[in-house]
Amino acid sequence: MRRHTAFYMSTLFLLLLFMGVLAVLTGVFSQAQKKSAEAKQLTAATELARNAAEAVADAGSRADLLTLLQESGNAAMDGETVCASYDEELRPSAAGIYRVSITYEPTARIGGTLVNSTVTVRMGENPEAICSLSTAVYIRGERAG
Amino acid sequence: MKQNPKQIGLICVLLVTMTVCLAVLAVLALTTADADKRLAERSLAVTQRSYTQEQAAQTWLAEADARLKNGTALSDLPDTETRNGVTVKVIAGQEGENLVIGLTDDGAGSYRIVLWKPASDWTPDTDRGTLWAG
Amino acid sequence: MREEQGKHLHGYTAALLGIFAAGFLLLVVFGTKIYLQTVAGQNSNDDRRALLTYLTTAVRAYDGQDAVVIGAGPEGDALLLRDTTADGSYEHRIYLYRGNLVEEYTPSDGALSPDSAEILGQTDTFTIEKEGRTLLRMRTEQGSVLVHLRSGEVG
Repeated sequence: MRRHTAFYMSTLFLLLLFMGVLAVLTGVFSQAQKKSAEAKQLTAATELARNAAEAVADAGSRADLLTLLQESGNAAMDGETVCASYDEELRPSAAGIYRVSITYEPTARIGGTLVNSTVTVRMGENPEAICSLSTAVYIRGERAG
Repeated sequence: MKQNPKQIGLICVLLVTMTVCLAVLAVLALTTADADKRLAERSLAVTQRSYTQEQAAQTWLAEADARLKNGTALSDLPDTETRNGVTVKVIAGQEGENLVIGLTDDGAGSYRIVLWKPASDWTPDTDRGTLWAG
Repeated sequence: MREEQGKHLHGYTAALLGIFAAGFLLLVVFGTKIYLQTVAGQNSNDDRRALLTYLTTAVRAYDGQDAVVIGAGPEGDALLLRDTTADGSYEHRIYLYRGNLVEEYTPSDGALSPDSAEILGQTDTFTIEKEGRTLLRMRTEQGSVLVHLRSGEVG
């Protein structure tokens, strides 16, 4: 009887140990999956932000910027901010999960207009930005708007 | 019952081996994902630095244009040098990543951008001895 | 009595081992799936960065007067980045050839030599469009990249 009790106790201990090992390893795998997803989002967001910044550099006005980013109806104005959305494969899509917002702040200078711009990339309805960067463009002569 | 301890012992060894293998796989997956994320973060940091430098460069361009409109000659712009008829301004960046801007005179207080390239500060290491004397 | 206890113990041990085996099997399936996904994700990110970032870097490195030209390659557009030195005029050419984006650095008047070109990465498409003022849109299978040429602008 004592032998059986000892056996049951040791197997119970083994079972608990086994469950602990399972829990730890599952946690590590989940952490790896989470980091991999974050890396993918960050890579995509960086690419989108860079493209948007280049569009800002080429645009002569806010309307120009909207035209440059517009593909398949993915870009629109939200107040004074230009917004564009892209799907998981970074293709322009009106219902895309990646949302790029670009502020366009012109300041008059003697020879033209200096436009400061902040590009922010978010995912879905999450208000937290995945990435953001600041850039500027100097437009000679005409007033940017 | 005499057979059981041997069988259970072998099974335990097998289970321990499997646990170790799975632990190695878990650590491998985590380090791979971590490396991927760190590379993505570094790529973002480089991109952000590049556009912060662009911001500084465009701000300088606005100031330079203002001076040109006020009658300053292109070659007289502060912190610039003239190389082969091109007025060159170097916008210094972090970690030696500079931006070189080249402007030429387009007449009547105007400029034309002829160069807008990243350039790195690099000092050759001349302390390594001769590799081949020829 | 002893026999019954023996049978009971045997069943208990078998069930315990069954739980262990099932648990490990599930973890193996889950773990290998995660690992494969992680490696695939890393490769995809690396491929995307390798091609698109390289294209951006190459064009920015040649952002000078009349240095960036869209030409014709053997299977579509070719990006021709001109480098004029004291020794002559050279071109850094990037184009599509047999499912790869390739590059070569040759004298400007030389013909394309795709067989000896260096492979940058795999892609089935490579197109270059000029938009806006001086905005280049380069499309590959990995995605598209925009580069604005600052040189040539008049102030």
